[in-house]
Amino acid sequence: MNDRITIEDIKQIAPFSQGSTEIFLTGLWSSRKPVHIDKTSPCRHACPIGNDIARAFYEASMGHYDEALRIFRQDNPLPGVCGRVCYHPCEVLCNRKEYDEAVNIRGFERFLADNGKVDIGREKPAHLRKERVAIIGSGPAGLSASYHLTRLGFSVTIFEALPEPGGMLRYGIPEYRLPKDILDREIGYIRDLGVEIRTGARVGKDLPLTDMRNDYQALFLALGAHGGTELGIKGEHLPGIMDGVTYLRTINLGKKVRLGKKVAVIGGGNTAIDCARTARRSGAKDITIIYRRSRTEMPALAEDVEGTEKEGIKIELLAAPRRLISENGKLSGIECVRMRLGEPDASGRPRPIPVEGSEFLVSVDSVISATGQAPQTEFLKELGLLVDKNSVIEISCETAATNIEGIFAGGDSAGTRAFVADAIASGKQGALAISCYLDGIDIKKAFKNHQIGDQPSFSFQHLLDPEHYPADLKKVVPYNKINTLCFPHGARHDNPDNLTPKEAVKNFKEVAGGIDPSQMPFEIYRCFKCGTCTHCDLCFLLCPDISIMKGKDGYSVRTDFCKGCSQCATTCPRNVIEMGEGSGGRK
Amino acid sequence: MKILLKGNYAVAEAVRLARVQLVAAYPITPQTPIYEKLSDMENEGTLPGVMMRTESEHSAMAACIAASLTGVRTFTATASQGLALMHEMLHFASGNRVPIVMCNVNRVVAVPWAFGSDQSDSLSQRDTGWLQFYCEDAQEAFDTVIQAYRVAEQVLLPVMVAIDGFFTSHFIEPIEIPDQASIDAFLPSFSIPTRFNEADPAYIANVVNPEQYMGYRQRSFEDMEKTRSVIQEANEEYQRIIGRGYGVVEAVNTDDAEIVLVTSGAMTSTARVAIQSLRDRGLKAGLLKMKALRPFPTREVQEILKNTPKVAVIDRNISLGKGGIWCQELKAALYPLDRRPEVTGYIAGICGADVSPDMIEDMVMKALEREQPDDLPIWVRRDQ
Repeated sequence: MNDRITIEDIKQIAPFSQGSTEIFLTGLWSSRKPVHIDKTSPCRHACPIGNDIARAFYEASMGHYDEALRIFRQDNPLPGVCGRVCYHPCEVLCNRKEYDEAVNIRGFERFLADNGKVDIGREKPAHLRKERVAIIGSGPAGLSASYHLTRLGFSVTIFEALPEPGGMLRYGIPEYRLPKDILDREIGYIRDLGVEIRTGARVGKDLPLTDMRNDYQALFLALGAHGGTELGIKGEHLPGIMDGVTYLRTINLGKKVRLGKKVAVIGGGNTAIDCARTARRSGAKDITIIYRRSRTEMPALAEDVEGTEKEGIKIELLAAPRRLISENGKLSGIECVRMRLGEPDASGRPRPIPVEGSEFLVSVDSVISATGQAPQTEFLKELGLLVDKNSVIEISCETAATNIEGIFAGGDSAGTRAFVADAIASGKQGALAISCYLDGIDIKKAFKNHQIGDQPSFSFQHLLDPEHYPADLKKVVPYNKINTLCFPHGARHDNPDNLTPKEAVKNFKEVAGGIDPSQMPFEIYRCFKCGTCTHCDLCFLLCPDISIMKGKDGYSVRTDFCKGCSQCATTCPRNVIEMGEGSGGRK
Repeated sequence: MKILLKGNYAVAEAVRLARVQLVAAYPITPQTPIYEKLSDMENEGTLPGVMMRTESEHSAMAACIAASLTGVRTFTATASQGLALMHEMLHFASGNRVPIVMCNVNRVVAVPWAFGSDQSDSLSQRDTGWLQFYCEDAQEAFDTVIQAYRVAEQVLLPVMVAIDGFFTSHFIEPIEIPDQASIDAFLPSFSIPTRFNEADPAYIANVVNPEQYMGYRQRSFEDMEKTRSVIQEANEEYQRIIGRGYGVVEAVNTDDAEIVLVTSGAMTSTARVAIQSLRDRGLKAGLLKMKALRPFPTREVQEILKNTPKVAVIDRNISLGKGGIWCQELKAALYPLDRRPEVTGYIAGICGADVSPDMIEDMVMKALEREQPDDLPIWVRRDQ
């Protein structure tokens, strides 16, 4: 019956081909094609220094921890410092926060800095420049400027008035938050890179600024803010009263300060917290922090405020000192007044308003006033440098330039936000400004070219090699572009405490520990790696037209066959792919 | 010797005896017992072929097509949503001229979500190029699956065998299962050549130009016409070897009938009782059972109804915007007649709703009394 059916019979009734479908360029019928283009993660966008966090996480996810550290170090010479004391705005804007909890980015940075290897030789510039730059001050701004200028080939000398480099990192931040050996190591890398640091060199006193102007083609002033501000109340000049930065500097210089048993610290910022916890470790038993607004408005980091309370330090909120009281010429108490919160003031925070008749007395042996700090800039006036009424050097924000040609300024002394990361960012900005000045390039144009999103930060890697830069710095990945189906929920791995509060107050050992190496991969896995292609192959596997090809350095699109369905763009876990008009493929 | 079997198991027995080499399927109510029975057989070592468990009906049909192209006998079974999901591949099967046999257990199509018998699932696959047979009971289902392989493999077109969900699929009936030797005598082993040759690769479903396309379609259409004689011949041979047979239609007491009731599927058994009851009361009523939808038995229908004044059609399905699908098909077939009967369409039993003998008698009487039937169908519902 059907044994008579042959293949030739079938060919007559059903289509059958031995040609190739490749001649049908079905992709030519669509005008939208996927483009693989790495983008900027919101954490990077939030980072004042512009650290390429997502890419570092990606490298670490493949076990390339040293490379991950190198990525951080492209923009930031002090990852061990920032990995401990940064206020981590990156975590505030982390996309993962919308999903469960922000990734422990600061803990990751610290992990890399503590465990990774640095090959500083790789960062040395290929071409050395003849121009010399002098940097006054070796705090985070000065160190950052020196590092980046050296990488651009300039010869850099830092002049530091204090015995050792580091500025506020050494003399402001207590050892229990930032161990000195961590700081020493990172400053060591900067020296290894070729930066000369002259300590004990007081510019203005020992070294006239005018002489320096002859020897150096550009100057960067990063003096810091080592002077306290006055409380402006009666009794301020009684013995037993000290400003916070002076207190911390004295302790960090290894000297003793007699405080007595009962200590009041005025202020709610990190300096106030550092003073209170330092005093606790120095033997004071009864410590009260007095802050005029509520807990929410405290500029100090919430985790540090919490740690302070665990160590038995009281926090008196909504209270402000009215006058200091003495008995027999000796400080005995502070008269405080209760405050209430009113409408927002110029800083955007609610204005504290005294509640009349609510005065109360706090009995003290000494008072540390940590309500603000000011740069010491009188000596600059000899040059005719413009300084405002708060002794802050006046600069143009974008260019870091002072009113005198060739002199630039940054950090606290130029009114930058008083956080370490902002100071480092300011030094980096100063390096770009000085480099542009010496090259005769418009800094504003150059900055825009390397700018991250619409932030005041830029990518140093992009500055060094814009042609081969792997990501679009202007496109920031929003949460709704993350394909969260690709990510299981998982709890954040916080840094553990090394010491119980009881043990912690007995010495200056570092309180916060590093993330355990066995836990780190899980936190690395939690990171979405927003905008950074991880070569996960999802696009390759899901393409219904087999039009995404895998190559050595990523994916390419066979636009002759891609119908522009955008499966790949929609399913990409981290928004690397987008649909563009035209021929498509990797740009 | 007869044994008691539910319709689904009777279908599974037919698949076993037909020596099917590949079964690719996905379970769905009310087809699942077929899938389960075939799995049991495979487990017990009595299934000559292999079961391939796919993740969807679309893949099940794709697997059957691919297997058939390599020259093996294939089977699948589905229902309702599963058949709807298969739709694209149904065209691939007929276009590639692969002789797949499928059992569709008629079930209502969502939405609303429900499970009862309803022919809309398979009737809406009318134009996919498959032969379609509707069975009245489990015995017919068994016999039709066996016959379907012989027809399909001779004309190289796929065949769908439809049975009513729950009525035929789950009712236990005494049926006769022939022995393997009888089946082998009727159904020779599969001998369609493979279209895949690793040494000399080719592919199917390639792009053709409009002229070529029309050529393939016309050829398929003509081959579908040729199936009419093949179906008849196969049935006669089955009758000879096995001792049972079915026409593409069956006429009961139609010669002198003043009115002929037209039904399909399991409802026909009920209609037989109702028509006999009307005859007993002196009414000249006849019954026309429709088995084949494609190819449509136009000549047979015309011959049977050429002298009939009135016709009532009961459809367990509905095509919105027109009416019952069998009714439409029938009207089109009757159009060339000089004296066309007046046709009344009924929609009844949708989603497995009960259609009792007295309801059928009532429908026949009402159709008989009607002067000028409307083109629109009459809905018959118990709750009204």
